[in-house]
Amino acid sequence: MPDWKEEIRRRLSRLRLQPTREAEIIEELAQHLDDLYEESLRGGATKDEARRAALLELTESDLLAQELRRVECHARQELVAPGARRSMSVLGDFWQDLRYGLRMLAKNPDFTIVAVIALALGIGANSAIFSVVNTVLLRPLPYKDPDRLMMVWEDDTKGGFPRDTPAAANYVDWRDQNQVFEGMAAIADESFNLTGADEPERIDGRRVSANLFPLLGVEPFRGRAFTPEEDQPGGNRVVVMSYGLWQRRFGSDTKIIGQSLTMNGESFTVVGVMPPRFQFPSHGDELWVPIAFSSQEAANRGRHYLEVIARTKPGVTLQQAQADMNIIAARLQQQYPDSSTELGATVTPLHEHVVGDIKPALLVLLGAVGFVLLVACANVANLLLARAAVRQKEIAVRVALGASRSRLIRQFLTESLLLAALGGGIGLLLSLWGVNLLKAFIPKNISQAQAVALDGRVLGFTIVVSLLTGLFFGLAPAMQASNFNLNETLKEGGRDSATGSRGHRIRGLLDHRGRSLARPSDRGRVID
Amino acid sequence: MPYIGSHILDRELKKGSAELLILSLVEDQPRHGYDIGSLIEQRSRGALRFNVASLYPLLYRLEKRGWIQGRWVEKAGQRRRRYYRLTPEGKKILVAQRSSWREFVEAVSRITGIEHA
Repeated sequence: MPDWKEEIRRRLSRLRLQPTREAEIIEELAQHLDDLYEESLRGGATKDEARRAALLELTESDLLAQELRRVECHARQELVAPGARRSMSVLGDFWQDLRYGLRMLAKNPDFTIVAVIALALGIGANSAIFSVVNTVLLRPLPYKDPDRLMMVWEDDTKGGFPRDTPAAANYVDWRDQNQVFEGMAAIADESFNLTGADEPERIDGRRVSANLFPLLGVEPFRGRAFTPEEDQPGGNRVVVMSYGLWQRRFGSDTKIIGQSLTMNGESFTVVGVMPPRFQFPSHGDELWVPIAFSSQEAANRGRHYLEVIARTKPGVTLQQAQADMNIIAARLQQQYPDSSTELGATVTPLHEHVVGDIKPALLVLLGAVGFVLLVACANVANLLLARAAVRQKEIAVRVALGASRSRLIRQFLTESLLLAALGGGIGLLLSLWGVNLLKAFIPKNISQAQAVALDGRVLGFTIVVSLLTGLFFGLAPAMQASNFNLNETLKEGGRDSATGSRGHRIRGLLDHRGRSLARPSDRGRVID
Repeated sequence: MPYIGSHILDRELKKGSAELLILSLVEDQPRHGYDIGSLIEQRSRGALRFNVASLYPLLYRLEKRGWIQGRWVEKAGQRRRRYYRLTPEGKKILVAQRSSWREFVEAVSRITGIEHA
């Protein structure tokens, strides 16, 4: 007798049937071919003719596979009440729970809408605030090796200014005497009246040391930075402008380098345009000129108006830098007892300076929106508890069909996670709007304010918050629903199960609105 | 009679009547697939024939619907075979299908003037 099984198996292989089911079908079809083969032999056919006659039955193997797929695969996809014992993979269970959860949510739109809106507001607010926290507090400053950038202050604690802006002469001494910094640059406020072909415009800018841009590690987008010669009195009639000003006032003129600008009635030559998104110290500054101290200014210890930024040498810690500055400050105290008595020097990380004022406010805000999300979770958990109460019959049927407690918890948690995912998705859209709103409230001196945006980290944060939210508000109702006494519920019989003894206990936790929202229109149905 | 017309009619009739044929054949006693296929061919005097590709998927579909039930049976001296029997649900369906089929045939006869045997 020919072995038909391999032939049949080959033709059915792409159906990917469950192995036991496939074996049954192959055995049955092989027997059919055996019978046909034997009948042909009895009818006088040779073995070869009988074999060919039997194999003719499989010529329409495409039809066989197609028909079997329709029967077998369709049967596999039929929806059964979750909880019925049936061998399925974890993924299969999850997919089934997901579809069932979607249908349950769709059947009770009032509940779903209220829960999703509550979660979307909570998650959206968290994502929006986190996007600011992420950009301002967590993201490194947009300069080269930003951890090595420090601010250096005069320490006039006795006079009430523990972080005072230094005088030029002190800056010059610090710069020349320190052993710990690779470079040090001074910055002074300045405003410019820009006149010329267009309307006159008042523009904020800074006088800066020539080495500021190399010290930050930022190259101009066009042209060059200042040279040391330009940082000398008389040689400082050059200007670097921001990308924004170049676009706005000069229409992104590619021939801007070398052109003359009239600023405060004097002529300056444009030598560079900084890259897009470059902001220093704040995003309001659009023009930089060399600070070019005069000899008189460089010797002045009475006017405290500079900001000093420095880059530590590789491997130098904040403490080492501070110790070195303490030595210099002590030396200056002795050297200039009139002006520098009890005047110290303080080194702080640039990042701390940039976010210093806003950090507590942001953290408080993050805490507040976190609390809002907790309240939203509590409300949704209440709604879910109410819903679990009116779904007791459904749970009873599932338990009767053999659903385990873990299986019920998984189903309820899947529904919770589904709600959280919907809330998270809509919340993310809300946070897009929220981020734009928040930008308006961030102080201008926070240089990264305009860079606040949703990025991968915010997306990850939203996903994690959504999942945790789903677990948080879903776990209690899932445990409650699965902690189930079949006999008790069955005794309560045809009555509305929410009015049973468990319903009474749960009712205490809920308000009327919550119960009415949670009540499905056709409660108690297991399979729709 | 044009070939195409008879071909389509043949296919449609087979499709419409196949379930009724199978349910009828397992009404009195359980039968295995080859037996069912052979009986259809014999009793229709060769006019109707199901091959493997059409017979077994149909059997499985009827089984999924709960109209027939298959069971592996081992008889002495024989290989085990899968026998199909009519379920109570299948019995109800068979009664309904017989009735509607009879009405259909009578209606066609009245229109075409073909006497039925």
